[in-house]
Amino acid sequence: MLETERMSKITIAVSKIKQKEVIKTLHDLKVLHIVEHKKTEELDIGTPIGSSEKIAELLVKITSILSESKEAVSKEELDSINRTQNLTQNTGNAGFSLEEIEAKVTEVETIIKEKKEIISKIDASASKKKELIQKLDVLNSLYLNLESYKLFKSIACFVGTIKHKEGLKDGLEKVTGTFKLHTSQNCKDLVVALFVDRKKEKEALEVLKQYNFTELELNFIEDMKGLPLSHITRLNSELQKQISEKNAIIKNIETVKSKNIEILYQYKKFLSIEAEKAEAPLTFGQTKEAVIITGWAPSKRVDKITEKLENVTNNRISIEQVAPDKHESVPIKLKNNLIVKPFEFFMNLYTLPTYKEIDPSFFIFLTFPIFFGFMLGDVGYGIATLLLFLILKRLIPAAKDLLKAMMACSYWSILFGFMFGEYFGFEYVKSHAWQTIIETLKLPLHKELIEGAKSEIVYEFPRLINRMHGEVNVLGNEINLVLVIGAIIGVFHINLSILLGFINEWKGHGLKTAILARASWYVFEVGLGIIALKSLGLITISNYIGIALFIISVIMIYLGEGAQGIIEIPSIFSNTLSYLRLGAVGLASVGLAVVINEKLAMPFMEKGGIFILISILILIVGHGINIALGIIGPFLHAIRLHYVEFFMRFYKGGGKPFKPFGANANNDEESE
Amino acid sequence: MAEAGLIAIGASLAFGLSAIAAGIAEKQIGAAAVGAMAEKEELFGKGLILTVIPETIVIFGLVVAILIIGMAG
Repeated sequence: MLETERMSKITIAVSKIKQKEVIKTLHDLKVLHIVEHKKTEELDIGTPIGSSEKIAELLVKITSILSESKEAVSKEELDSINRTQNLTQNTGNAGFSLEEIEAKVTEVETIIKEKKEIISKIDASASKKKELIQKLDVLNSLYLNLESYKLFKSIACFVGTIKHKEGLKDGLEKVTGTFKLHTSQNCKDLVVALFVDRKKEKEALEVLKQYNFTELELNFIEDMKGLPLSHITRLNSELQKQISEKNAIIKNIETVKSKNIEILYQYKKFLSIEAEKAEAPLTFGQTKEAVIITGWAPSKRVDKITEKLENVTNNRISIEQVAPDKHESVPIKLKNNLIVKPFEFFMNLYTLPTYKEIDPSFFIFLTFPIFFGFMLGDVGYGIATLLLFLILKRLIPAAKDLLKAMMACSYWSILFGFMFGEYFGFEYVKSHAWQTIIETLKLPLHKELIEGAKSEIVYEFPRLINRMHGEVNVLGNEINLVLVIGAIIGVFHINLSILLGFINEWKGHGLKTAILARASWYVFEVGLGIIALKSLGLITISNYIGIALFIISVIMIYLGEGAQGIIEIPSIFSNTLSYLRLGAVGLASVGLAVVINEKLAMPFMEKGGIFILISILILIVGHGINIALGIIGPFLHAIRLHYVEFFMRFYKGGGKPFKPFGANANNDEESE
Repeated sequence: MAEAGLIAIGASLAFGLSAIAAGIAEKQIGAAAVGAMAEKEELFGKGLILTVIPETIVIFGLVVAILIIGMAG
């Protein structure tokens, strides 16, 4: 529980002929964390299995088809596909042959390709037609028959747009007497058509150019006859037909895709597993005839691996346990029972322990929910959050672990809620509203008189600690009880942290370092305690003992941790005081709840009638907000107390996670 | 009564100002830590610890506030 999974390093040597079977077995077992082989003089890096290129190619093709169709397929469909995929996976994935996959993929691909070619042809012709329509639109406003533009060889014709036409006619008259000018206002431009004697063509063009003339090439007319409008209508109807044609083809493609999408997803899954297997030899070492696989496996599974591999290869295999290098980092697999397991989430979030370190998951399991519960501490809020986490657990399976941990927090909230006697921020009920209920049910509630402007009798809920008003006398100061409890928890938590630090140092660097760097803090505390108690006059031991212990401890800390340790001495106080937040966060939450109940909702409630509805609304919204704050605040503060104050004295972390060969395929869905 | 009011103001100043100070200090560290985390996710632990270092100021502020209120007691 406190240790991570013990690992053994093993080396497998097997003939190349049996390589495929070995890879398959290891992939199915999912227990070997393969260490990548580095090329040496004797051992080359392995070569991928023959079909790996083909697999990769098919995988790329399928991915590209699927990535295009993602928009076309609705989310529900994808979900149902994922579900069926999982089913097939669980039943052992009836294998596919590469030929089968290739045939199907090529089929789908060619269909899509053909249809896409047709679409691009349609697109090209449609854009041509659109252009033509635009040009015809310009001519349309002149109301001239199309054949008239090219009727005579001796007459030149200019069609185009100009900026304005003031004085154009006069200008042209100066150049030539024989011309005919048509102008017409198009929706945005002034369209002009000028028929002029071919001899005076150049001069007329010069005149037009002064009016910003943009010429329209008339070649497109070719053999079109009649008014432009009739052509425009014809082209438009043709265009319409093409668009509907195109839409039909697009729809066709989608049906082809969605018909095949399920099988394509299955192929993808299958191929990615195959690809992983085919490329596995890249992490192996190889000689001419054999491959050598090195990796880490949980010690208790080594026998089983050996047995299985020997079975597959008819004992023609050598499996050896080897001693790891001194500085080699061992892959980390946390090992906790079912109850503690959800709390591994917090380790994954922070950093995994190294192989020699204690796995703190168990301690987080012990204290995290208590801290959270102590801060939230309200029966109503506890039940509300519990329901919320239950619902979320159903909705988001990926966050299952975190939510399980949070549910433990809710249980503690309810427990502390009973201790504090708080129910949605209510600490008592008023007698006139509840008297009959309380007396008929014979509830053991304490009757109390609240004196003030309006004295009234209330029924207090039973409680051990009054969070809002409970105070204790510490050295002559009245201090809120929950704050003091927070600090006391802090002292215990930090001392536990020092103890764990001692064990870690002992395992990692030996007893001497452990005593100097960690046990010294206990000496420090004892020395300081004696000095403090003596100055308060509570004990009669000589002060010199305290001072001596204090000095000794400082020297020990210096020897153990260097100057950094000395700098850290004040931090032990601030860290302990940091646990005051356990009480303070809770007080804030209670304070807000009381304000919602008594200052916001009550005045409306007392007015009666329609105002009761308003007060209920205030209660729902107010407590909703307070619960949201009550989850975020205590969560962050509790986690921080662990990561900072608790971990500081014993935990370094930095372990690499244990990733057994073959495990990726299973977690695909989660990681995506 | 006036005295109690002054004590309350004193306590709230002790706590409020120290909270503002911690906020200013944490602002920059937090921004840098998030930046570093975006580059390298493993830095979460270190980033968190560095970010919360100034929080000590608030805690001392809280303690002082409690002591001031205790004076009123």
